[in-house]
Amino acid sequence: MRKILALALAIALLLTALVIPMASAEETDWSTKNKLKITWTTYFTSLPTEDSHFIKFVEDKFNVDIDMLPIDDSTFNEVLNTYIMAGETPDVIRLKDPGQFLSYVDSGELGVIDMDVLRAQAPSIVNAIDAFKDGSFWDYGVVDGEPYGIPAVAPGNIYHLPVVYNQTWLDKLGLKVPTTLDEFHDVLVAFTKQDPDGNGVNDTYGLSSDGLRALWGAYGVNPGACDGRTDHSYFQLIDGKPAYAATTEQYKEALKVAHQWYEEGIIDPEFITGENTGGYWAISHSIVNHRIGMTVRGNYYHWVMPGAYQLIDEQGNLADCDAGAVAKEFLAVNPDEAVVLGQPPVGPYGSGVKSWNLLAQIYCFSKDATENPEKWERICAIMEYMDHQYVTDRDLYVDYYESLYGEYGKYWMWEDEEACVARTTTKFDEDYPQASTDVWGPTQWGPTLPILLPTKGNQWATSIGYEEGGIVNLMQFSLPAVAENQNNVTHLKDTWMIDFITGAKDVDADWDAYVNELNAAGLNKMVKEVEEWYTSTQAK
Amino acid sequence: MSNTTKTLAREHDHARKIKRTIGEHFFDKFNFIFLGLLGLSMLYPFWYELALSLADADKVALSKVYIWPEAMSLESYKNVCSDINIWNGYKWTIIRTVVGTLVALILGFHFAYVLSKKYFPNRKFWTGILVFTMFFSGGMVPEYLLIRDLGLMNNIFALILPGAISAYNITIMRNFLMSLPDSLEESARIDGANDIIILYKIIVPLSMPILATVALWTAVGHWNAWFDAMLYIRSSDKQVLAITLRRIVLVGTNASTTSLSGEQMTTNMTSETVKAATIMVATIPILCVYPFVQKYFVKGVLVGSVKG
Repeated sequence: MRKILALALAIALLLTALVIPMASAEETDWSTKNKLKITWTTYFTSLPTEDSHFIKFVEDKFNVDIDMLPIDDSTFNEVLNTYIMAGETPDVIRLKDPGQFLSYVDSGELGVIDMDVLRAQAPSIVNAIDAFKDGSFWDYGVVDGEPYGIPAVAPGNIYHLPVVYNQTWLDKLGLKVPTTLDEFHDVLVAFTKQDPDGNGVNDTYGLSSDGLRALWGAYGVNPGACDGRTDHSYFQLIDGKPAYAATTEQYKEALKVAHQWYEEGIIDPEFITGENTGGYWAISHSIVNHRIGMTVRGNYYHWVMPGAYQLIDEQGNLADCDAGAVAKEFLAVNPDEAVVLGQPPVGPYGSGVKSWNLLAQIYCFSKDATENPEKWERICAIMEYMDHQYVTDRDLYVDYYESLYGEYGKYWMWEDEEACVARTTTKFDEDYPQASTDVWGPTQWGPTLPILLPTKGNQWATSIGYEEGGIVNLMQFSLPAVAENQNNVTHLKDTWMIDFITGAKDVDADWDAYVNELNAAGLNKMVKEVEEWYTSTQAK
Repeated sequence: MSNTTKTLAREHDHARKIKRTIGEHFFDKFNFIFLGLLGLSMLYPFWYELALSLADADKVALSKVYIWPEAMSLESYKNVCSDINIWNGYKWTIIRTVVGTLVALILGFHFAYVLSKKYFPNRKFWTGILVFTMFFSGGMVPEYLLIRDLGLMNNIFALILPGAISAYNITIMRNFLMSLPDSLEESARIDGANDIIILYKIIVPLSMPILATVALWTAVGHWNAWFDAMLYIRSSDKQVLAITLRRIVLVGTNASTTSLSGEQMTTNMTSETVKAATIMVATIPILCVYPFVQKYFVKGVLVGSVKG
């Protein structure tokens, strides 16, 4: 009897011991613990005040004193370096450019993460990264076997760049969205020669710098557009080996076609200066202003036409979606026209267009933050709570919205209750007019999670097949030699691309000179480093 | 202008007209057109921003070039003016500009006056010390450490004191002061004036052109400065206007923001009209200063730079 009792007690003890740590992430009362001071960097468009809603919430709930550092996105590295060299490494660093990560680790200022505490305090974050691509993204935060960073993944970037056509022009010329490279060529010729805008003047072209991505994709590579602003070094696996996209044989073949197209006059001679003339980056002014008829620029949601899919409005009815940011501009200039999104045309080496990198940032931490167990626990808990905005677990999601946005129905409502997607109401916009830009405060406290929320927009993009056919960069971040040399190399690559296309240089005759010049500018160092990285980490 | 001078001027014009050759005539025309176009190319971007700021964002295509928007709206200005950061920014920018300019002028002018006196002991050495700072600086990190250890973080003086002594401005002022004849000082001294009276009653009134010039440079510099404010000012209610302006204008111009998810991209996008309105609100006050100091400006720079 006594034995049984003892056994029962032992089991009961064991059970409570098992249950308590699991529940602790939810129920810890931080107010009974020490008040901690934490310095934080994150993304915001305007410096938050001390009494910004989100900051106040975090300070009260987690019994901390948050010092939000005023780091501007465009001078991030400069300012962060100053802080670090002055011995004031921020506790939480949202490293905007993952390429800088290795050099910060080398500087010895970052702390090694205690994964057990992270696992206990931030289960949503750990589980989401574990579940995404077999947890392979964790590797980006590991240096010499030690974890220094948490990868932030932009799940929306699984969709490739949009292949946009002026639908009105296609309809007028009796053409369909092309599916093969030959059809694509025919459409471009028609756009150029058959006066699609009907103004009686021969002033239109097929495509410009961004549209060329469709041609490169038909040859299986993404050497980037030549405007020097939207692309960095692209590495791809060619025949099982990492290769710099813009020195591959495929690119060489594609360049010959591009030159031929240029001679035919279907490439806008102004492609050299790019399609965007300033302002919002995703706009292609060339297509908006009827110079060209197709482009590959921005993201799918920039080009969504009004009514492409339906949303639930505030009255709970189905309503047409609004035009995307660039579509809106297109419609303002051409009110009676429309654009259509197609798939990249199929050529000799398949098809595809660029996808943005999935690895968006790396979150890393000061030594002070990781070596002080109390502080590290608190940081993990804050990141976990603030990351509930990305999860599909209904209870966590509702809790997040109710504590931060307020009353359901008044300030927020379901856009899709089954899929667990909320939206704010017009009442919210009225009561907090500065919410998106100002006093509301930063929302990205922890890493964005690799969970693609099934919003109506994302469902639509999946339905038109945009999850497939993206050309993904092998390097989701830049290694030191790449970071050091890529500006020079990219600049040379762009200059030569223009010369090859216009015929100032001959693809066959000058190819070796081109490759040599790139190598002299540091390309061979970049390639060597990428190969080493690939064989040591990826080719298992 | 008296009648005689008018007649003289007319005769002078008349004489010039006769003398002008065809070449000169065309040269003048060309100058007129060329400089006109040059001026226009500088004015138009400003005009464009003004037109954009008054445009109705929902009705007008923002990427088109136009003289005047077809649909007008003051919505953008309403939007900008309701931003608490703009008003806070104004307050601190005006404080830093006024105090910063005064401090720089008072310190700088006295420094320059002393250096302009040939009988000042070790003049070369002190000038050398000053000029040295023009070519060598401690760099960003030491400067940051200095400001921090002086306890000036989050303090308006972190923005005023580091720039209070500008070697370039002091050199310009020194050169101007050296161009004033020594006899002024001597005659005043014979009349019984002491050093203080000579400086404030004789030299300062004569130095208005250079004071106005340097004041304008310093004031515009303070008005536009942002990097120091980003480093040293931690709380948003003490932040200057230029920082707010930067944040509003730079959002979305750069593809690197694509790392954000789709939802954030669209909700956080500031419209171009609001950006334009912010630019207008932030630049018009400092532009208004120019006409008042313009008349001193050219004179001040010229005299200050010629003599060495």
